[in-house]
Amino acid sequence: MSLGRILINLLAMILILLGLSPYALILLLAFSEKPTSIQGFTIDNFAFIATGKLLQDPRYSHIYPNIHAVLVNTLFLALGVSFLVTLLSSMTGYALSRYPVPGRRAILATVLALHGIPVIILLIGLYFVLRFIGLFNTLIGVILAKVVLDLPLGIWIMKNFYDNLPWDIEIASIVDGAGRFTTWLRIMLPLAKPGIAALAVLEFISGWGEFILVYTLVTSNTNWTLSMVIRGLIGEMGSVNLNLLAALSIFYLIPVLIFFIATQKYLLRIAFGGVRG
Amino acid sequence: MVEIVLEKLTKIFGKNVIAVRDLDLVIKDKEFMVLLGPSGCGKTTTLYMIAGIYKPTRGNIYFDSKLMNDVEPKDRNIGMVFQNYALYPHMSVFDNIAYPLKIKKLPKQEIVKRVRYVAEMLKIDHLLDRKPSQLSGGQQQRVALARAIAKHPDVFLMDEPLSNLDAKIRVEIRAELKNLQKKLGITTIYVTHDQAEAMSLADRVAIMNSGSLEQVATPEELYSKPASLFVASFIGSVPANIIRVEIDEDYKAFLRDREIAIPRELIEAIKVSGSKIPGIFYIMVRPEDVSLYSPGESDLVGEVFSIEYLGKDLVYHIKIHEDLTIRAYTSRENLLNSSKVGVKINWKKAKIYREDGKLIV
Repeated sequence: MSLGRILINLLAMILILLGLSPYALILLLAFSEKPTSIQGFTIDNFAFIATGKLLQDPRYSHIYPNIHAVLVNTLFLALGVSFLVTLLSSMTGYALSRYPVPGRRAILATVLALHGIPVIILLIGLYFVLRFIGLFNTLIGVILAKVVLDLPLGIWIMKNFYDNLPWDIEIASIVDGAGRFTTWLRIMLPLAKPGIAALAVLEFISGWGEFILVYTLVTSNTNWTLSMVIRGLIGEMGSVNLNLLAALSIFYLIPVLIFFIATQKYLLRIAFGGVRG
Repeated sequence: MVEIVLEKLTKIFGKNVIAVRDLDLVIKDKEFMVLLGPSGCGKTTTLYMIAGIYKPTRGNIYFDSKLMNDVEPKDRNIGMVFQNYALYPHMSVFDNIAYPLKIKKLPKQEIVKRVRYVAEMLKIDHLLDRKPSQLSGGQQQRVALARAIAKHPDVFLMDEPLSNLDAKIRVEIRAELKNLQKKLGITTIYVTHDQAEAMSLADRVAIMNSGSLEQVATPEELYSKPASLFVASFIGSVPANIIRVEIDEDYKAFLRDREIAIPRELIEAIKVSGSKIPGIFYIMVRPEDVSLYSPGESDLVGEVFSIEYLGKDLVYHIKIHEDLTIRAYTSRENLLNSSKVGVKINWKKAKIYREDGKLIV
């Protein structure tokens, strides 16, 4: 290898290490015995997984909500978002792809534009809307808000997916006697499975990691998600439990990593927009 | 088991794309009707209107005197076969054929019975568990056919179903199809651009051009009595000869300033038809009705431009002048050695057309 190649490879490795270092730090911290530095090795920090209590000390353990309950909340949020976005997108995408709805182009353009709006702008509006409906401080309210924000992307993805499916199979199905809904259910949906699966995973990850909506729209800590617990740990009570924080973060991270690695090939397919096979 | 009547059927796409124009056609019960024509002539659009996939812009469609314009495809009881089969890729062959039956909510035993019966009839019963992607083109075609037949429809609609197959398989399946249709006795409408296919399959052929019906007749009649120049030149594996002549006030015919002899009967027919004289007319004569002689023996003399060998027979391309090449179809024994030949027309079989393409005699 030439000197140039060696230098570039070296540079690449340095950059990778730099990028990975925060994760390495967290990993080391999670197993550390001391709260503020990396020393020793212990799995005590992960005790909350078994006991459900973030702080094992009985004097403080009631300050934070039960981790098991919080985990259930986070799962509820992630699955709820995933399910609703997938369901609605798969139907809307189909309608926009196949039906000559008047103003279809306008609807599509609007959908695309909505996708670009940053969440922060809508927070105050969402606060008032949820209060008005009476869903403030509920996970369902957060789910609905998140679904609404993620729908534009979902619809766009599904519509493009459907656009690439051949239409003569649909015609065959209609001639065979199936109505539009049966055709969609029995023929188009199975063919769109890869796209739907990818969307479901994407939305699960999106819901799992949601912070700002929960932070704004949920006040009582029985409705907290894991992201809120992490935030709650930072700078509270004057003491800094970095190792506990790190352990919690790793715990939060694992499901996402697993999901992502398991479904990587589906997500890549979506990214390149094609539907083959 | 249905008679289909199309009445002034018209389809306009957008503002001004007239795909089908005032089509009047009757398809008799149990008939094998072929819609023939070049790409873009409106035959597939017509088929889709009969299926209910397109709504007619104007005109009416009747199934046995029942007005069908607003009836959904699923309620028309039709079986359709597409050019690229349109099989459901995620279902097995069995499920593909059973799909319309499941939609109709037939009892399970009946479904199994019908699917097996049809699969056996089309010789695909050993493939019932496979997926479409595991089948050859010919096999996929049969599955598509089976799916249409299993429904026991009133009408078969076929959109160029054989055009994706190898030539050899095509000929085989053609024969099977014809036989099958006769056996089942189901009214069939078949779309194709291949005139040989149309001639071999049809009870009657409806030739279309640019959205309009040119002629509807049996293959026999279409061949021997084409109603227009378009039909004459479209039908026939070896294209017909179309000779342009000018006829002056004395009813003398000139081919590019050289007079040629035209039999009295034809001249009489032109007089009777009231066509404008002097005027331009076209003589249509099929290659097999043209015979070759030595140059001295006939009016029309030309040079042998090329010779096509068709196995037992030959087609001579004879250049009379730069705008006119006459094709002569003859058997191999008549191989000529010289390059200059005389051409004689069998006037009994020839037809004359007016300048606008319509038949006079």
